[in-house]
Amino acid sequence: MMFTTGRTLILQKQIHHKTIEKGSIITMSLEVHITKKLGNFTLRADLSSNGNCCGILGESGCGKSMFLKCIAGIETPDSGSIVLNGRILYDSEKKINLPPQKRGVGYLFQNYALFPSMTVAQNIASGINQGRFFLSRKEKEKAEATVKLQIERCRLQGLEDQYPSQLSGGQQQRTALARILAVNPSIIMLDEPFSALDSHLKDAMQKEMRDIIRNYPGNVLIVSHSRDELYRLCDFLYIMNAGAFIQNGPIREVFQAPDSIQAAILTGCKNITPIKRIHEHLLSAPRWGITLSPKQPVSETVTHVAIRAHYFRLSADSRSDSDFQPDIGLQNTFRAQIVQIEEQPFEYDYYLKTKASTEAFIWKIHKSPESTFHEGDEVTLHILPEDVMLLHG
Amino acid sequence: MDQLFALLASLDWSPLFISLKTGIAATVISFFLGIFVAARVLHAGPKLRAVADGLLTLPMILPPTVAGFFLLLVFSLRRPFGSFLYNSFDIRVVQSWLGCVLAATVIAFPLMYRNARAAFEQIDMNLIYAARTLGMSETLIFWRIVLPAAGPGVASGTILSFARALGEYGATSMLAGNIPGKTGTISQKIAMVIQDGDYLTAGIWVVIIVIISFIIILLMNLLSGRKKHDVHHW
Repeated sequence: MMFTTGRTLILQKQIHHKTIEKGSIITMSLEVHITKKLGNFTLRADLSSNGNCCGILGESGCGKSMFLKCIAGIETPDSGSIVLNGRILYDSEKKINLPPQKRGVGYLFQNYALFPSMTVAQNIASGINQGRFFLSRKEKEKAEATVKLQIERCRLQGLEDQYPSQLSGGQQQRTALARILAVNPSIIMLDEPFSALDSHLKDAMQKEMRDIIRNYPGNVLIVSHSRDELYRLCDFLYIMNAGAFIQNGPIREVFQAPDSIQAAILTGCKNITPIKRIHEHLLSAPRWGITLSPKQPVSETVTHVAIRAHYFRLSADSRSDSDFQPDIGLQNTFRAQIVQIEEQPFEYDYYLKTKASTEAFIWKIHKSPESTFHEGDEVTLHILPEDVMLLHG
Repeated sequence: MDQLFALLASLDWSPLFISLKTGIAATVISFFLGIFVAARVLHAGPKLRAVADGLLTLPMILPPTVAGFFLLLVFSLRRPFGSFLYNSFDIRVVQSWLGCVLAATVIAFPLMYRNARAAFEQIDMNLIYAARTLGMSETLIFWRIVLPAAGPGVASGTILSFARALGEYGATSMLAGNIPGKTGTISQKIAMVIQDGDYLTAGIWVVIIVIISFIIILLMNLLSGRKKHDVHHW
């Protein structure tokens, strides 16, 4: 028994390299298996993370905040277990349910939840020594040093004596983050961290957040409805739909190959349509009036196909005069007419139909002279076999 | 004018001190009791909460004389509890300053309780959750997070309780009576001298109580407005 535990420690060290000091090995792991019923909504979630920065993508109301609250001990699951770095936080069978105070969990709330009657420095200090009023001189000095360190790390110099209501959204977020880091939690959980920020602040804060997360030695969980945020910050992704995780994996893989309609929608896919399987390497999309040949074999369980709007490629000969007949026999190449145009600041959204289409599909392309078309124009588009995503219901 | 000065010089100031003493004592008791009870009621189950809330608010809705009647029913020396208190502990509520304080507290308490409860209810629960995940004990959370966040509501509850306790008449006159120098408060004094047709003395006391009330409310407003930053209202 001792032997196996030792082995796991070394293995995890080799995988994650998250060691702080020489010789001290920190095992980073989070194992969550919980169910919780709320009215006619049921959260049934299993997650395991090994010190990665793990993202949870889902629509608002899908249960992802509830999931974080269960880990933090703010909500109690109906059954299951939560184990953080080998420490049992919750276990319904063993009747263990640690209060939030004892869990060592840092929770960044969507509205930051800064204490309005305390200054920035007081907020950051509030959790050190369990917030006790009376401290020994040694404790006081240590607390002051911690606050100073976090103020520097989160770039809050000069704001120490300001109240939260005097801060900008980004400063509030950094204060909340500093307050969490000051108590040195085993896990940091971010609940929709950027939803309250102006869009021009978001980019800068995401970059700062990424640097802070990289330097943080513990687990990180980020919950968001924004695929862009999670893609920038996370290594690993879980997709949640109606209280259950429907897909997980390294974030690039999940974006490359969502395996269900919900996952495809949540990862931002605009074009999804039902298919008819022709054989292992060919399918037809009747509503679009085209046949496609994907790289992956088409199994019997495939019901839909998805193509990202950015992945259509304009064939080089597309703009040639009207007598030009493209080689329609060429795999994944088809001719389509532009039926509608939505102009974005930096790209065009073209709604396209082939001659046999009953439903339009969207093609997004960056603006350039070569990509500027008008309604009624015909273009020849091509799709790489690896860009055809197969969905199972 | 000379008549006025002569009257002021010969005025018995005891109603002022009795009223202030009573108001302060009743406010202090209501303050702690109101906060304590409000916190307790908020954590009670919904049914218990509804019943408790109704009972605790009742003195505010009832005519003060009805509250006075109930107080007499309990504390009268001819009643079991009243005589028990008097015989065993030498505590006399009827016709005493203690009666003034008790009557004023019963009438003022609901204002404190309701304001404190409303203020507690409006606190962003995320503040409490955040404090818990940061490791603060529930007691510390109450003193360091809940109470400061509820500050304005608690302050206004205190002002209103004090104003109410200062002017209490109905229940006080029934329970404590109007014994000059002992239980004779300003409001009782005003009622008494008006019955005698002495409008000048009544007028002096009216002016005094208006000035006191205004100063207190002004002070409280300045105090509660001082610590707010960038708070805008429509």
